[in-house]
Amino acid sequence: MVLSFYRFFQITFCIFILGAPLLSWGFSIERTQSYLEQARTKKIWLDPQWLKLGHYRSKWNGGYFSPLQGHFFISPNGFHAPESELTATIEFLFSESTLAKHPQCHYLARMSWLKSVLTISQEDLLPCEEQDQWKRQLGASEVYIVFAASDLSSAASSFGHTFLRLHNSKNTQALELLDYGVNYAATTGTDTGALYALKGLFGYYQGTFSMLPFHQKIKEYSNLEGRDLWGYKLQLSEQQVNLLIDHLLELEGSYSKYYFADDNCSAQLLELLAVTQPNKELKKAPDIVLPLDTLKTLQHAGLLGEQKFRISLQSEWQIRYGQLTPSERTPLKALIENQNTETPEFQLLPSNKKAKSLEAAMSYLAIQEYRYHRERKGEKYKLAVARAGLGPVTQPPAIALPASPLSSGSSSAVYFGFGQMEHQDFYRFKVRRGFHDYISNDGGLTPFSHLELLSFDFQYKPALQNLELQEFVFSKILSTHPVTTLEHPMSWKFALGTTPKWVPYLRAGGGYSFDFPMAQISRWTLLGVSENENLTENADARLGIESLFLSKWLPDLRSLFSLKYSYSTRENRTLTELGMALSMDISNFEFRIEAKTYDQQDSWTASIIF
Amino acid sequence: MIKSLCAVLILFSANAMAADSGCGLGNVIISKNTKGLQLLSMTTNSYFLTQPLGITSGTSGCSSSGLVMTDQEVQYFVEVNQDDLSREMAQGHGEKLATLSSMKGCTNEVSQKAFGSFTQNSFSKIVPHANTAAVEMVKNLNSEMATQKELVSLCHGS
Repeated sequence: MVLSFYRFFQITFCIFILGAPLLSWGFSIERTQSYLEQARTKKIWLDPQWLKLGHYRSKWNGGYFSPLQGHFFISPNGFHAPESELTATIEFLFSESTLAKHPQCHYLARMSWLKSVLTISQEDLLPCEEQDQWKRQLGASEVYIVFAASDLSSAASSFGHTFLRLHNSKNTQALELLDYGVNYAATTGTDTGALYALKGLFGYYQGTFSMLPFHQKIKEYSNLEGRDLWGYKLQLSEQQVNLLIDHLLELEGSYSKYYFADDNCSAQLLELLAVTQPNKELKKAPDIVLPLDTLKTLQHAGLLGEQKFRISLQSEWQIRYGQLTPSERTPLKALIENQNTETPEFQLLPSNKKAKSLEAAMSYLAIQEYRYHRERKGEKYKLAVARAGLGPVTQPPAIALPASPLSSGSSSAVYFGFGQMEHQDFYRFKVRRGFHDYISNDGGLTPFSHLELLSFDFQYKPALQNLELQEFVFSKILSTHPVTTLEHPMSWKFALGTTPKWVPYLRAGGGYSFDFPMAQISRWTLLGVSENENLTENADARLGIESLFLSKWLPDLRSLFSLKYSYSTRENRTLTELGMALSMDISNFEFRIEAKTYDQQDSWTASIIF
Repeated sequence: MIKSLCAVLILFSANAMAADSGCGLGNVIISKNTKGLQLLSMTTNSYFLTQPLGITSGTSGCSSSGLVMTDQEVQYFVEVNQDDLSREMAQGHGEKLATLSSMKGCTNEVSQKAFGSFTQNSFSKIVPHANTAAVEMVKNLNSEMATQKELVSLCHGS
């Protein structure tokens, strides 16, 4: 009896499963019409949640526009017509489908929202077992936003990067590396250089979301690119996390045009997170969207929780090297160059000091391998065997938490100043869109660097009643890396802009930097420069040398001495520029005094920078 | 439709066979790339080492539908992080090593320390030469760990 009942159950179940698509949960035209009617009565296409699910942006004329393309919109006008997209969605989700996956199991977030705003018959709700199983395996219960610090040595990374980590609560402590990272990136293929930059600026690449284990993302950013990672827990409820995952799944097969400046990883990530915050406005700048700014937007919206710092291989090496005593540093060169453990300097060390030198050498070779794309397996292995043989004699290096990126100053700034040039008074007004000056506080940013974008520096001379644009900067970059006994990295600068009356200049230079233990830390940079002035008319190419000495006296007090000596090929004479500047952080603004002697013309300016 | 589905299945099983030495990240993801190209391609905005999100991306090596299969997690982790793991095993501590030890059941401080000492002591057996493949490393780790009764009981009890 028991057996026959089991048999009956088995047969019935099989018929049910086989017949399921035919029975098809019986969608009815009447019921679907009633859902459409409810939607029209409540005008739910104006619901902020619906607009966020479609990534709709308001246009100046009151209309909408969504950057999403591919298979995301059901209605042909969906990308700019939320109402027509909603109608098409209801019709599509509550009707038969010949697709392998019923639309209800694709548009999971839309479906879950519709269930919350419309009265939908149980008969019309399909199970999505495959998706449920996948989400169970993913097990995401918390979401973190991860900020990869900026790296000026790579154009693509100079503004930093953000991605998400989906945390599975079973991945406790060290197991969190097994979480998954969600990234929004452009498919750039093998394009490099100018083509890459141009295509990126004008939206020729497709940007899509993708997912990888978090440890693989760490390898990419932290090891390969040497960028420190800052993680912040997002204050989301379980329901909001679910909606986010559902929405990510419905974005499968869609893409948007990737613009490096505005529609980039950060902009898209913000729109993705906005889905969980229908009633909050997560504002992004209209022109350049910087990952650090989006992080601050989330902080202001009260969405950032606990912070977690993850050091890059590069920073770890610098710390290890910094912590070595002179006696531990001496044998390092021989260890790195030919893995020689027989030098007297090395042999004389006690085993814990030997271990420290070996560990530093292993870190160094690992970075070299990543940086120069040259395998060093044999060398690394010799050092590893020697290190393992010394046993458990070291502790992980002590790492002091660097300044948080959230503590950095605002990326855009306004300068108000007063000064004199050749005893003539002037008022100064400057606006800078991005990012930070060489002498400004660089907490959380690439230290000892200058990255200026789109700034306008005006001077008003009351005696002449004359307002003039003194300088327009399209882009000004100074990237410095100190020379050590082991490394001789280049420091470089580049500037493109205009002097008064929109006369363009192009300046570039290369050289080396050296760190000194003077003040807290000081860096001297010596560059060979080629400065091309007056490009539209009588172009003047100048060649020379420039010396910059920046000292950090206190965390909020810095000074800069600069000297430039160049030869003008047009005027056949040398020009000297001597500059001094002092910068101080007071409350939430910066006070700066600058004095300059250029070609025997003296000037000084005092500015307050907000 | 069925034809293309079969083609996809055959393609993936061929990949899986080619990848019988572990997850075959090398085969599946970075095939035909030189080491240099492979590293170059991994800049911020590139797409080489990423998978489309979601559940239609098929099966390859150690992952299914974009998620790493539970029984292949150790293998996948070692393949991605082999260089870091070798270094951390030699020095006896490190973040990746802590993750690996947790995956092997050593989750508390005492057992993690014991795991670190074990991998350091047995370094030459787990990584017998400079070109030890990831799959070999996992196999050696398992067989060496099986001989460490005290560690095994410490880790399973933690």
